[in-house]
Amino acid sequence: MSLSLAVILAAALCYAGMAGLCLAMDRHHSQVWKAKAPNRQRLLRVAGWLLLALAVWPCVQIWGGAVGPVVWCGMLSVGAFVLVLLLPYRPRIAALLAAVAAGAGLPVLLLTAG
Amino acid sequence: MSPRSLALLSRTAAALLGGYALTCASVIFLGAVLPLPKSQAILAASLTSFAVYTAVIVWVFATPNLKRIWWVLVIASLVLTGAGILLGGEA
Amino acid sequence: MSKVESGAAEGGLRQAMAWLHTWGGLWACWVLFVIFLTGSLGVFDEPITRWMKPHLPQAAEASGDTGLDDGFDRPGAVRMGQAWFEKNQPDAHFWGVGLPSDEDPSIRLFWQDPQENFHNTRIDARTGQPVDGSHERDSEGGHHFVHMHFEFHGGTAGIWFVGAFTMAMLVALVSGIVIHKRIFKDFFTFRPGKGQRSWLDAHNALSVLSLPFQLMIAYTGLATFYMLYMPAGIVAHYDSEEAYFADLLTQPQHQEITGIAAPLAKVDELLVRAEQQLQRPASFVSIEHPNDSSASVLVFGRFIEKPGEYRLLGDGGGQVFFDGVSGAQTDIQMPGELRGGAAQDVQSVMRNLHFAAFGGHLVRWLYFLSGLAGAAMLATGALLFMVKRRQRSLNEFGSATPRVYRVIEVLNVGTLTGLSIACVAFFWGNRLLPLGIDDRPVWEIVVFFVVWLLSFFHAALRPASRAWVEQLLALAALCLLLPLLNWLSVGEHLLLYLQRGDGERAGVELVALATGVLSLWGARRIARPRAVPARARQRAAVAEAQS
Repeated sequence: MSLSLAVILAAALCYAGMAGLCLAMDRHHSQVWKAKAPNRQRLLRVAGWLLLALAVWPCVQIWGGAVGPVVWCGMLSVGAFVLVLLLPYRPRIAALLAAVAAGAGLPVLLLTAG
Repeated sequence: MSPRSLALLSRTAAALLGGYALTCASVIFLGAVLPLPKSQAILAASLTSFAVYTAVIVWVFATPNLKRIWWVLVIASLVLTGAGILLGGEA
Repeated sequence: MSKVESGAAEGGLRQAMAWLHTWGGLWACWVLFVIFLTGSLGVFDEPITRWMKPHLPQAAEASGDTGLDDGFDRPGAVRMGQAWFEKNQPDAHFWGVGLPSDEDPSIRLFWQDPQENFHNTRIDARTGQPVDGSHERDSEGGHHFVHMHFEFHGGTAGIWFVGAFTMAMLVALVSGIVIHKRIFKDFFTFRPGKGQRSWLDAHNALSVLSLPFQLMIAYTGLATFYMLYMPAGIVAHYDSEEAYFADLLTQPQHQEITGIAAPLAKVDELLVRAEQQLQRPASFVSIEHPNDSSASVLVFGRFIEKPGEYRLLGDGGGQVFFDGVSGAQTDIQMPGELRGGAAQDVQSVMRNLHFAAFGGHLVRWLYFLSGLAGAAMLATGALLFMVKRRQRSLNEFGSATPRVYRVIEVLNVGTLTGLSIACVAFFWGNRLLPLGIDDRPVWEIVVFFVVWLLSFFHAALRPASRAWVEQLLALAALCLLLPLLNWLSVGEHLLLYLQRGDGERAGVELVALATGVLSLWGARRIARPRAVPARARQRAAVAEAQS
């Protein structure tokens, strides 16, 4: 895995993960969907945690077991910041972007891991 | 100076100066009792000290009884310093 | 002043902490803002130095090469340095020779005079003559920001000053966590265009989302200087700092000066022996008490960055100790060897975490952004204080309240925008001050401080809202015109840097341009507050209703 791929992958997964956790909350769920949907919200929450956890992988690949987690922490903040800035202005685009990030990030992750 | 500003001044002094004294005392004490070679015990205690200092400052600003704060700070500082020097022995 | 303290340790824990956070945070936020902004810039001290010194070569990728022959005659450099010291500083208590390398091909000399003051100079590695810097753009470069960050250019007193405010930061963070009622519920909440509410949201989001970084950076900063801030343990249990260190790192004991003259061993030969054992070039040779019978020589191995290898521990270049008279080796610490047990390992990791040099470019950028988030957290906190009181005075200072508010407002303007202007003005000073003047680096720093001071005068003379707009516009102008100034003064520009692949210098100008655009946007927002888009308002209302 190259450095730039790892950075993009970690950022995409962190952003998507944060978006999952965020949109699982009633307050933010309503910014994108009209009605509450407990099942979808539960799914979003699980997916969010999972994506955040998976983002550790590219970080550790490039930076190793000691520095990788530090980079991961930084990427978590970056992902959350981008989301918080985008969400109040363009909530649907924020959600769409998260779907794209997860949709593109996961296959790439599988390819590089395999 | 009004009694209230005097009380605030006393509280601030207790947090900053009294807190620092108690933190130093904690380092001297832990430096003597931590089960590590002495230099490493001192280093470990010094690294912990900033958390101790933070906790003491927060405690001083959360405890209403000013007199009690000063008593605790003074007695704890003296006891910990004394115990630390006695237990630490000669350098 | 009778009502200022109302609230200290009153009410429950949360109320007491709210008081502490508001007032402790207020008096500390300006200094902390300076520490955070200059610290964030200091992350990129090397790129800034390269931009300020166009004669320096472009940064090279780390090769990880540990070969002893890199084209520099280091034993010769040691002989040259020693000859210079014997001639010019025979009575100094300490001689240090920084050996030439790709980074700096000259020989750097450091010494401590009998009055214990430190000095330094540079000599040419080919001629042994003092480096003629009159044709160079002599500058403190990015180190200026690093020094502002940890000591305000104030030596030991400055380090104490910064340490005291860092403790205030820790206390503010802890009290802030206690008073934030809904950390997780409000985790992603930012409601723009709603006045005070938005400022509080922004302050909360910035703090909470970067909290791990803020706690880490404050704590590791204190831990880096633990010897200075918390000497109690060492004083109580050891005779001296040196004795403590010798014990901790199992190194030879420090010797006192004896006053008995004794010729110095051949230091160039010691250097060769040290390099062969360390299996890498040396970077620095220090000679303690030269020509005294207590003399000792210490050779430091070069710090070598291996591409693709990132570590928080064990990155040392190794060191070899010699008796300075007999030349006998007294100790050797190999590169990467750890001493001082787990406690020292923790301290080393903390220091490395603070210095941001452990993970390449990306980590530097993350630190830069997180540091700016910290600065923004402090800025929003300071602004929030005034926004809250602008509509309705809380009368905390009795009849003096309006005057105190005015002072706080002026301090806000002069610190937030004023310091930013001063930072850019430092770059302008670098390009505009004539070459070859005495103490040129000092004059650049004078420009920095004078511009900063002027910004406070300006803030004091103008109504607050005008002062904000005017300073933001000044900041925008200085940032946006910086690349042009660079082109006019030294003939270099962004496209040239990009063409050459000089990402460091290009990065400096790109960050300046981005800052310029942002401040232009900020000035516009303040000058013409725009209505919130209906859609965003509607969504915010819905979200509010459902929370």
